[in-house]
Amino acid sequence: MQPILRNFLDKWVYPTGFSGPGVDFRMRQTERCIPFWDKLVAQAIQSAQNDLKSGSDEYKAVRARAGYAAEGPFMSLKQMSTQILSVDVAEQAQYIDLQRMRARQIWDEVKHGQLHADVLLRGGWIKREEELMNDPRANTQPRLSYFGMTAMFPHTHPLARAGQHYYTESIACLGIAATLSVIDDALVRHQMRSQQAEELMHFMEGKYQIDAYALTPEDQKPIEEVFDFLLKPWAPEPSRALGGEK
Amino acid sequence: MKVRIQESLCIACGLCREACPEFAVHPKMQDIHHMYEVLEAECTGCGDCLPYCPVPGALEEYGPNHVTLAGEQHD
Repeated sequence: MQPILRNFLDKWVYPTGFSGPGVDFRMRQTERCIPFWDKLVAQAIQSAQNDLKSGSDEYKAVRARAGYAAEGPFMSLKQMSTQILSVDVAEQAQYIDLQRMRARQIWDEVKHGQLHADVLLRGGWIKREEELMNDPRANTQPRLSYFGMTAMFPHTHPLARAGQHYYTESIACLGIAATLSVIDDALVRHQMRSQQAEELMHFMEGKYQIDAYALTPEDQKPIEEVFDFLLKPWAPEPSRALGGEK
Repeated sequence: MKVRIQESLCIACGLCREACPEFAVHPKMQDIHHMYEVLEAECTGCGDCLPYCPVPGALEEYGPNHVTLAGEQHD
């Protein structure tokens, strides 16, 4: 197992404040995630090493554009406004705290987008952020998630989002840690340093929600369905910003 | 005249960054709290950012010949 993943598991995944069926369920899902997380860390390290070997700074712009395209302000906005509507009115009150957590994340995602743009501004690749509006590389994702995950999850069950957080935000945490373990560059650190803390917070949000809310088979079902989707072989490709190939 | 940010007052809303026509306001380098900084070399002193700042004093004018929002000129 990659040491970065081992450290992540020991520090953030396994320590749990309480026990119960939600925690047991999360641990079962974690076992499914680990082989994918391990592969992603190796991939992110290799990608960072390849970037360094390129002998050019262009990789920073490539990562920044990909990060700009992959950030989730729109998805978070949609989710905050619609995820609560995926359950009956009578059930909505029990999920209102999940919606409040989502509201905080919108702020994070917007700030992350600014950081990606700032790499391009400070590095001299663009003069104004508006230039990114005309650049497809900063606005599209060459991944299934562009039309699949991103489009689907806005209308997901509130608890399904917890599964998405647990798996996808962990990829962000691991991808950033792997990248920063290889690349020691001021602009890359600028792009990732605050993100690192916030992606961890998003991951912990998913962890807490599964532990605290996924207490019955009925509650666990939408979360398990998300893992079934995310853990398909074609799904776990990380963004180029985090060390993915595309 | 130039503009700078008083970090002790700034709430990191980012409105000055949005308002700046020169993109002189940047997220502060490697700052985990998402504070902002005005790059002196890029600031033209136009003052377009000033009316948008929601916290009195968080954006501060400095340097010669700065003009307050009330129109007073200072050396």
